[in-house]
Amino acid sequence: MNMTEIYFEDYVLDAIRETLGRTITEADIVLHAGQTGDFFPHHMDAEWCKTQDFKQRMAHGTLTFSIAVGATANLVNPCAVSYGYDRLRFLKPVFIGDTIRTRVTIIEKREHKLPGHGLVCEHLEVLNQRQETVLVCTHLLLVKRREA
Amino acid sequence: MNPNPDPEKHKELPQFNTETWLYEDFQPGDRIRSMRRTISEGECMLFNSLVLDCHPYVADEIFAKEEGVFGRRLVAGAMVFSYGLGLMAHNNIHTFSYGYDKLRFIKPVFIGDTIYTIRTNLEKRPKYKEMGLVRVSYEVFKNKGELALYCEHLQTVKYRNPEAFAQLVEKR
Repeated sequence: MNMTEIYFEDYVLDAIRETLGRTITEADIVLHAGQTGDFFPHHMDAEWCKTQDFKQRMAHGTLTFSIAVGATANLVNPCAVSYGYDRLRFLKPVFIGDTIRTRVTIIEKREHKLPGHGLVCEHLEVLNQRQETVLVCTHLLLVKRREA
Repeated sequence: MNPNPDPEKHKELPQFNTETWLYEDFQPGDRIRSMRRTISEGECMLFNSLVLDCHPYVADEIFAKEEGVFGRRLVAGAMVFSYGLGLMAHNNIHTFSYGYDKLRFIKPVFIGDTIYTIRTNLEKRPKYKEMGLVRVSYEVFKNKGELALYCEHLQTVKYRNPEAFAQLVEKR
């Protein structure tokens, strides 16, 4: 893990970073179902899944999202807090054995009403081992300004 | 002693904890509240490990106490999101998750806090031949009712009667 102070002024538009890969296992899905209480048959019932177009159990959207976002925490910026997420979309299912990684691109910097802070927008793309995009979202970070 | 000896008849019973509504049944304005649940220290660290996110605000007790602004460890935002939605998991196989909008972390949630969720039906529109798109909001409250997280969930939902929407869908 890398702890680096990055102020609002330091964020560079179009800068890209990519996380390590993470293989999604059966244990991940069962554990996440137990933790959240989300026992949709899409995640839990292998026999029912065989009767559907997708044929096999898939990861919860919240699991893919959490792991993809968690992977981006290899960089910790003490000047920033997570403000929220916009336009989160599930483009393709993630199945047991798929390996996902996250590509983060800085797409926008905007003003924020909180004095001494600005909003940084990161575009998150989650890719699988076939380079298909499985999830996208925009992450909003509230970041301290250097001049503050 | 078996009061239900015929397995074939089991499937006729309504299923516990499973909603079955279709597009036509979705009424904007309807609201429902979840059970409460307390978030324990053990499950927080389990979640942090699961997603490989050991940010000091959620995983480092010394940092949280001595340097962090809250004086104690937070529950990870993604975990509040997952748990808040999990409390509303309706197990309706006619629906499929499409995405989320306007996810906001409004108040921090700490280890030991008790959360619950209110779901509000917002709007619906025909979209595909077999399925429409509905939008609901989830508000995740903590303890005595402080709003901690807000988001909107888009789900596709099957029509009971697809012919009725044939002229209205966006993608024919």
